Amino acid sequence: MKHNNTITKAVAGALLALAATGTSAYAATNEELEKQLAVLQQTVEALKQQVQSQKVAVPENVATQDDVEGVRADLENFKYDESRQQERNTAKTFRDTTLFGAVQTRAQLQDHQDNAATLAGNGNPASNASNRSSTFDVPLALLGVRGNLYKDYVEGKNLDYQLSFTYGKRSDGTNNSDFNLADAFLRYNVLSTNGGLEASKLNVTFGQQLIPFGLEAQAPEELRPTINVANAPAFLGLFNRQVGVIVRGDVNPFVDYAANYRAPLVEYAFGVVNGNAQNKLDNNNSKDYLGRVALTLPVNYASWLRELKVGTSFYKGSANVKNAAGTAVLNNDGKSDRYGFDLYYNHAPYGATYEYFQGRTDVARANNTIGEAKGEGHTLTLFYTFGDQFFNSIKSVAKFDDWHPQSIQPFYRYDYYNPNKNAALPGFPKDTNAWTTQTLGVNWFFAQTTKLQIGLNHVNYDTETATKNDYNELQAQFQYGF
Amino acid sequence: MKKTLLSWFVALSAATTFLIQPITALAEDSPKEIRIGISSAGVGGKPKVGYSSVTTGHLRGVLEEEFKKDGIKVVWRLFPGAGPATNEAFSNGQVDFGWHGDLPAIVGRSTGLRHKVIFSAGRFGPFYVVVPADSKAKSLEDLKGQTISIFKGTALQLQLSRLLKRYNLKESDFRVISQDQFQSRTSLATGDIAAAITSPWTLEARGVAKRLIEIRDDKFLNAPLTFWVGEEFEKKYPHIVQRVTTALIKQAHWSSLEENRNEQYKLWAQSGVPYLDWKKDWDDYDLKERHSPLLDDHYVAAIKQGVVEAKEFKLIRKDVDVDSWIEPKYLNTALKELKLEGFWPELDAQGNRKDGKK
Repeated sequence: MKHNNTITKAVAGALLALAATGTSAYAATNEELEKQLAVLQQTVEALKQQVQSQKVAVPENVATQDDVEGVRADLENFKYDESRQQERNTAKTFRDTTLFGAVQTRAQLQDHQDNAATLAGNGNPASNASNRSSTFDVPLALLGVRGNLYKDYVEGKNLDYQLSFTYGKRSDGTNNSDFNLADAFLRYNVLSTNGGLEASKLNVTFGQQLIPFGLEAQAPEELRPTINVANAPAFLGLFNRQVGVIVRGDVNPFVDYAANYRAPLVEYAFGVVNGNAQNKLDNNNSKDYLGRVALTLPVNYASWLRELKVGTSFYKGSANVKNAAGTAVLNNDGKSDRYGFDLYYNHAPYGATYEYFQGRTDVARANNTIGEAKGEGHTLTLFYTFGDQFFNSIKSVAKFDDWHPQSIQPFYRYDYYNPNKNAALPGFPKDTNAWTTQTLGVNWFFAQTTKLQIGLNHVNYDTETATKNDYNELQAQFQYGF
Repeated sequence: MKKTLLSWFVALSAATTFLIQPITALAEDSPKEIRIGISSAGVGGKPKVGYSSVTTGHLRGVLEEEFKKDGIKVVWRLFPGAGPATNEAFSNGQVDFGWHGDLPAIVGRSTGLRHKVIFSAGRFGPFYVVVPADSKAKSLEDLKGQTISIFKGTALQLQLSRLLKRYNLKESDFRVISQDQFQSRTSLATGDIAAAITSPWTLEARGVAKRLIEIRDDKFLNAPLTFWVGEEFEKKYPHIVQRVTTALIKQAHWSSLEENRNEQYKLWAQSGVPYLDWKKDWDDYDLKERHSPLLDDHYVAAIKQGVVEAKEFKLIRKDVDVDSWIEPKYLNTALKELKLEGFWPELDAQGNRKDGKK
């Protein structure tokens, strides 16, 4: 624009000069006119050159039309590639979905080959099935999806879902396995989930799910701390998923903004379920009821008493009590109650958990009367963690590569279970079936979702028999998740 | 077989000891590594951040250069979880130094974290309240009853409280939710929140949001940033603290020079925040004022005011004694060694230059 003005002025000036000389044109000779024309031509040439030079002198940091076209072409190519890949190479779902899973691969060695399968209930293969002392095993393979069916951006009252399957070995002597439904539920958050740490939580879960009893029983498979699960909750059926509706929530959370630490003063859960475990209809006309309350000490994150939690749980169950022959139901509202108390302390690097379990189960005698078996168990776990794996800040630290903090966690577990402390009943002798498992182990978290667990178990029966001998067991297990 | 198990047990114990050994290796006269917590991360969780002379020091590797000859490793931990994550890491002995906004540092100190403030690491700067592009709001008043997003626990929480107080409003007049910076930008773009305190530039470039409020000259809305050292580390390695301070004050000098403004923007753009955005946020500011490391009257007054506000807004339960928290000796020594006394303008408690210049 600036040089256009200059040209206009220059040409106008030259024309005015020409016009001025034109007033005396009569007097001018042809020679003079030619001279004036030559001057005019020179002026035009000079102006042309000036314009040319000004065009070349466009500052380098100003984008040209070509530059803009180039960027646009790149952008269009990028958009095309994105939409093409989206269409051809991306798995799609209708709703927000996260695929997740966990797998365990295990090796174990026992020093007794003649024990009965009494401990098979805790997921540990019986030692004597083929007179073996060692085996490789895949105890867990779990695959699932989770996400939300409705996302409430304003208040965070989301409707979430989870669906997962686990494989189970068949016990019919074949090499086959089944893929069984594990979790199948939807969960509605009644209270806001985005109101900040100080907001209370409340959700309702409907469907098949783990039950909120104690500590270990409600932890998903991939988060359980030891290779073998605790004996008492395993034999009292507390690891079973149940079908029903359960409400979970907390009130009066204590918040330490220093570390965004949230410690709800009271956590609670209550619900009603079939009581007939997973993938089955109810087998009687009574529902089972459960509840849990836990209190966490309201202290700052920096306090030594942080994450100190005390909880108590109950499960009021009703079961069909069959006669000794198993041919008739004597009572379809038999007792199958469970009570628990737990203590949790986790102040890295130290950690401790303790759980007490009591089970009261109706059992038929040979004369078709019914007696109560009172089972009792204690599980104490102490651990110490070397490394940074369990700090939220370190886990989420900004990084370019697949770096993840490593942790090594030696632990000791004392695990006692007595199936019956009351008078003897068929299958439930008084006290003599009790045993203790002591485990010395180490968990090595060497990648973000992978750990190697090694455990040395010593199993000690209160009363040894020909098929129940004390034994030692060495286990090694990789567990990975994705 | 029992013998076999015994030998397995011995092997297990030996393996555990072997695995644990490198993690628990003890420090000697000098630390094997110096760990610095930065309460921020780049776009998408990149371990690169702009904004401060300290983070420029990270991008330029000034501490790595300083400690190369001693074989001391410098570990920078950049936390997307911002200030609260730095506090969590410090509580668990995972960082020795920290770069913090005012609120997380104050809250941390009030809950018993033992550290010493050794220099100021940035101050002032623009403040934006951003709303969706189609918002009809003309003022904060128009947003009453609607959702405002901030990252609670970070300095933004105090900034919002100060802003609301300025307009005679209260947090309870709105629904204030907690989202990190990236979540709040997404929510603004989808129109699911009414406003957020965030940088407007990338959102405006996409046409999805606009500025409702822009404040560029408030001396107390953005309180000074703080660089601190853990008391235990300071007691053990005072000579290392001095070297870290001196290297970073030298960096603050580099960052404050007008001739380095453009290069610094380019370095900061490695964080994923575009070069042009840095220009828009910084071009009209005096680099010396924004990068001043001084623990002057303005720094002290702003932090003391932050303590009072944090208490008023019920973000802390215990008081913080600011005077005993500040340890200026490392900064003073560095300024003397580097002959930088008087380089940065001292500000009075109101944020005005003591030399009278504007």
